[in-house]
Amino acid sequence: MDAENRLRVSRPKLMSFRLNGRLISTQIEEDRWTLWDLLRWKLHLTGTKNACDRGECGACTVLVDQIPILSCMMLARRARGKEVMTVEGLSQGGSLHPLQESFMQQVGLQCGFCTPGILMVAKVLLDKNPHPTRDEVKRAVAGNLCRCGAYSGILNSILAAGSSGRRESAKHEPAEGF
Amino acid sequence: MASPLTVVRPAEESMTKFTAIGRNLPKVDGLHLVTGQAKFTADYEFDDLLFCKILRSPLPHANIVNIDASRVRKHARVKGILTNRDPGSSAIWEPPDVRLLDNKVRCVGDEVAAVAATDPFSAADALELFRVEYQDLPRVFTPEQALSLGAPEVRAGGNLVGGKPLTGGRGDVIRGFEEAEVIVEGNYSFHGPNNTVAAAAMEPKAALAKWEGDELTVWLSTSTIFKVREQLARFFGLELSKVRIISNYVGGSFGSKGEDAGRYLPITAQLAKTTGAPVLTVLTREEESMRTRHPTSTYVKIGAKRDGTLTAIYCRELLNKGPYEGKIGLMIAAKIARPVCQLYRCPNVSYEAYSVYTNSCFIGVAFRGFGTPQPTLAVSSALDELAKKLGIPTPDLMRKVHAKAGDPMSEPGFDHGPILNGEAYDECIDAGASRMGATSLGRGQGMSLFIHGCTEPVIHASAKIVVDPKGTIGLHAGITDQGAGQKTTQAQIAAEVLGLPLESIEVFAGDSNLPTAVASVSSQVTWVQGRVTYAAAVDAKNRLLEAAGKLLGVRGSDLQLDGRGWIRARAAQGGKMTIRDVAEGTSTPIVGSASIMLGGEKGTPFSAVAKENGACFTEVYVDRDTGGIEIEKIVFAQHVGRAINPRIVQQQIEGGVMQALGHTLTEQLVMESSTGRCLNPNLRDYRILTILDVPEIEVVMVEKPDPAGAFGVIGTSEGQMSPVAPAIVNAIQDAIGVRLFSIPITPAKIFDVLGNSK
Repeated sequence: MDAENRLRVSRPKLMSFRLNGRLISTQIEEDRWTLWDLLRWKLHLTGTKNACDRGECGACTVLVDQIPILSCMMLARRARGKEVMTVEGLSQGGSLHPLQESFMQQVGLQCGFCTPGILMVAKVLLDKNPHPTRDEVKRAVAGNLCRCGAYSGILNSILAAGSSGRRESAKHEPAEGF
Repeated sequence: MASPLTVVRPAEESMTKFTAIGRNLPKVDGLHLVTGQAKFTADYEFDDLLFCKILRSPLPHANIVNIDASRVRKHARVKGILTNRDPGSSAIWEPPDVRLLDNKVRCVGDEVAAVAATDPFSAADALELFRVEYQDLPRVFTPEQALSLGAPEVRAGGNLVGGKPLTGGRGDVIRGFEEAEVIVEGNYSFHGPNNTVAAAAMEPKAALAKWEGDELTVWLSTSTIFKVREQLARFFGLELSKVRIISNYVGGSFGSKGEDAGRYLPITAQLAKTTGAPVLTVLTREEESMRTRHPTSTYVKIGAKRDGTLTAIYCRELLNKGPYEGKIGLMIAAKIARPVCQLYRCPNVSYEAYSVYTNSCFIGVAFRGFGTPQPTLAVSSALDELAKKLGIPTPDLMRKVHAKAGDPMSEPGFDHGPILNGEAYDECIDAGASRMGATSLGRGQGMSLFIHGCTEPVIHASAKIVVDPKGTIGLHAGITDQGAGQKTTQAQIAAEVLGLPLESIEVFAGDSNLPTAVASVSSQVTWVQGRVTYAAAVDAKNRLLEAAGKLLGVRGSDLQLDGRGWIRARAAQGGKMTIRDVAEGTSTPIVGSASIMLGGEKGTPFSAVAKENGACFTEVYVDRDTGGIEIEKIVFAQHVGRAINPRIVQQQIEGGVMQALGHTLTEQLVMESSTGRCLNPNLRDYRILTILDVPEIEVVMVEKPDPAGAFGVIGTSEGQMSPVAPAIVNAIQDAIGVRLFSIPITPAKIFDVLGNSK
């Protein structure tokens, strides 16, 4: 299709879904919009980062019905009726999620651009498996690239968040070893 | 995999006297980063924001005969177009001293035209509507070809940047080689001649430009806000005060987001000017990948006595520059001097570096390590071969030949003064060697020393500490933090001087309207900016005590800060008051400030430049049947001066090791040699390492406080890029008895050399 004609055949569409716990109605301006586009351009949620725009790095991960999804690869209209959670939804009600506390305390980041995506993946991991092993953590975030190479901090942060429910005292101790 | 945190401190020193220094405190910007509130450049919004996309050349070398933009103009959502026919496109952008949009393209990906549209999709659509007529020109992709007689001219004036090789050295290498009893030599390739590696920062480069009258504000993902301000002011003919750069959060840089980050920035600002609306450009991953490290071919020859004493080092390097950024190419080429002249004690040294323009789609610019990794691969590999020839264990040879305290460290561009802390090498070698243990069948060990400087030739740095009337303390300095923790580290220095908890220091950074600070390049922020932060904090403290003294009726020198926000008399009797009481009670604001100008003709001379140095040890396992290699262990022992925040330093070192490991094993941007096009400008086929690839990395930080740095700090964040590749090359040689001369080291390459050596 000609670049000139793309706009003509695409019509805005109304859609409802739950976003970070709230039911919202919004408009998808063009068919080709991905969920990331919808979050960014229409809903103005800037916490979810787009680093590669082709599903290779994991930075744009959000949760759709509690499953980690690359928001740059999912068409926006497929979110109709679903429940979407972004990093902004992690700390609702004014208190931080244990993972956020832990990533701050353990310094599980350098530049922080990959952090929102990693937090979402780690949330699903801990929801399903509150006390994961090192290998389970590593496998869970294997699809999230961190070019700063803060991997040991990421691992320690997730492990510490996982153990914080079990042993409150362990929260601020750096975990040893990879 | 790693990483017990090991800090080796001078025995006599106790850390208990510090409250903020040497502590693993959380980052001051951590909360914003974990909640998604941190605003990176592409996160700013305006109602009338336009989105820019850039049309790039599909050809490696061509004249632009005609650009027909008539169809683009008809697109309903296009609000601005910029081609080489439009006013404003002919002004010179420097570096690299080329027109904003030229009549010629010199590489695939070169800027041809740009549009601004009301949404990013329409902007991308509009690019398809340009009709460009090119006239193909002969092209050249490797430095060897580009220097040969009759080669196509990439830039007017010849393909050799500067018209002559960059040369230097000391002594007499010819005599040195005559005196040698053993000579080793080799040609080493760092992804040369025309492939390379990518910085691959997770945040793509982005710029948002907005004009109000003749005032330009740019939100920018950059590490050099003051240099970029100068560039833009020069380009648009404005006073510096009319240009403001804001860069609060930067998603990784690794050198790639400096003043040589490309013409997307002035194109964005120009489109904002012609449309009268704010314009945002976010580079695609493909565009992001194209300005990066120079691939090189390096020849090295080393002569030595039988006891290992070095008699001569000769090194010649060819750097593939791509078609632009010649000036920074020369600065990068000059770093050949580091491993050749600064790292080893050798009386006779000679080097020559040829920075060569080609039509390569990769444009060589600054990248973490800045020209040091390439020659280090060659020199460290050759020295390992020398050790093998001499029958001396490599660590023992290194102990003998590394530079010692007082040895000269000159390098083209500026005088570094004598080397400090030369004995740090010995401690790093000992720390590494003692952690390696014995090898077994199929395994091999290797090592390499490294050195890296922590400064640019001329630096202006200033900082202010403002005690506001509510008693809070603001640290004001236009530094940027691209993830290396610069904001936190500077705040820790201020907190230490003022005896306050870190939380009471609020950092105002990332804005060119703040006091001029050093660029976040050359690993210099902690070392140089730390000096002025320290001095500004001392100034603020003295002013606070003086003001308190006046209010309490005592001398300021009789008072002290107690570390908990109170000012008390040194004597048992005497008054006390809080910082807030003083701030409220005094009639003039309390502001501490400091600035320095280092280097250049007018600046303070560098007494001695801090150098990151140390040793990297690796153990690898090589599978002889498949050519596969496993990194069994890496011990990275680094002289850090003083770790202000050991965990942040450790992350810098681990992160650097991971990048260098990727460059050595899995990463390569591949250029199709017939077209000059990059075949894998993405994050799947260009394979950076994941959490599953992290080997066992042990970081040892050797603390030897540097006399010039606040609390003894030096920079720590670039040295890792140099020694990892040669340490692995050397370990593979140890394991299979065959030396590799190029990276990346793939299983196929190892399989090949094993087959050939049978």
